[in-house]
Amino acid sequence: MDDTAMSIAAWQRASLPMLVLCVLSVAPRHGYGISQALVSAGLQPIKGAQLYPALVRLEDEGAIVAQWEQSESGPARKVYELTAVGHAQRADLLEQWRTFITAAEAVGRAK
Amino acid sequence: MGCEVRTSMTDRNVSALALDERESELAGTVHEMKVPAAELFGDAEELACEDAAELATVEEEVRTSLAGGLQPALKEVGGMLMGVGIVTSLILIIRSGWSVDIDTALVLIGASVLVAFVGWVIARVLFASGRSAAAVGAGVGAGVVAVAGIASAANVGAGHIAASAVPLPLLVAGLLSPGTATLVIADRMPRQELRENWDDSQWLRRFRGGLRARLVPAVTARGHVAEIEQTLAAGGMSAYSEFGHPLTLAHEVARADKSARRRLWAVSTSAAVGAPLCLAVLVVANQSWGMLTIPVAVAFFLMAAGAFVVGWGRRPWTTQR
Repeated sequence: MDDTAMSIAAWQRASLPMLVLCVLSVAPRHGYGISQALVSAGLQPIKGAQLYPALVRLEDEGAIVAQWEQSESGPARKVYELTAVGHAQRADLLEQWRTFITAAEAVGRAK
Repeated sequence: MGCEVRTSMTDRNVSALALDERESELAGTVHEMKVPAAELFGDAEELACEDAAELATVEEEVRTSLAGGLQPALKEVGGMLMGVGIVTSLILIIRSGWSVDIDTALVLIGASVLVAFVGWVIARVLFASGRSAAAVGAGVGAGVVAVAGIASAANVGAGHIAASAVPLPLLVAGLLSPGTATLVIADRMPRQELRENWDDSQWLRRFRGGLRARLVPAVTARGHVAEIEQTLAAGGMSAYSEFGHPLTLAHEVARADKSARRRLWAVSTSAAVGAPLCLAVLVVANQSWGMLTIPVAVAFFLMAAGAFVVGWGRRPWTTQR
């Protein structure tokens, strides 16, 4: 893994709750599906060791709810869905992220 | 300054590597700036707190906890043996002269109490490692041996002297040496790393045990295990490669679980308040410290009061994770 990939992974870890909320704002997904959605968007693969505690924390905060759904071809799957609290949290985090990006870009331009 | 920060950060779940790097970073900055460290970084304890908050990891927390293997377990046993040895020595010093007649029944009772304490520590180690059944077995086994020892003491009765006129310094040395030896051995053991070879079924069992040890409700723990099984089936990866050490994940998940946090707080606060209170009552009831009985009982009571104040300050429904 080169330095750029490492820094993207670090950004990803720091912004994981926001990324998860954004993925779930499109449609409910199970844990592995969230990971796949992030990879499809061009991000680094997220290990379960990082994703799973983040999901439990978001569930604890009431930002997401989980339901077991019986799949047609296999065992039941736990599917996560965004709540109203989660929608508000996502908007808040995105706003903070944009503010940060704007400030960081301004610093970058000022050199 | 670097050493002070390092000392303050010890036992705050920061890895040795991170400590080394931070220490050399601070030393390098001081060397480069040619300004006293205190002026540059401020209070060492404050800096250590900030650094620890940033550098502490759950892996290190698990590695140094009771679940982390033989070394922390030996430290716990050594500390307990030292505690029992010191208390017994102090009682002997207060109550006896320079020599002591050793009563067989008292030795049996003392050994039974020791077995109960050691069994309790071993049971806690096993429980913290996610081996609940083994923990119950160890606890019950130690309990049976302790009860048998006390029953034997009752059969023997008082007045059977096992050794007479034993010099007190020799006895005190004998009482303190097992704890000292255990602590020295634990201190000299090489640093232990968390296990890395797991098959999935072992991993899942230990993960579930780790969740239960952190007081996650059984239904919730089963749900987490089922979800991880589902992820492993979907992705085709191994549990360890995807989720890391089972107890590390169990700690993180339990920390994010509201009911587990509340249960853990209730149990730890009750134990921290209840244990010194029980000791205070026992000391008063047995008058075991002679003329120091009341001061010792008051000290235990103050410890219980302090533990209550600290516990109340950390109540989970008002504090953040």
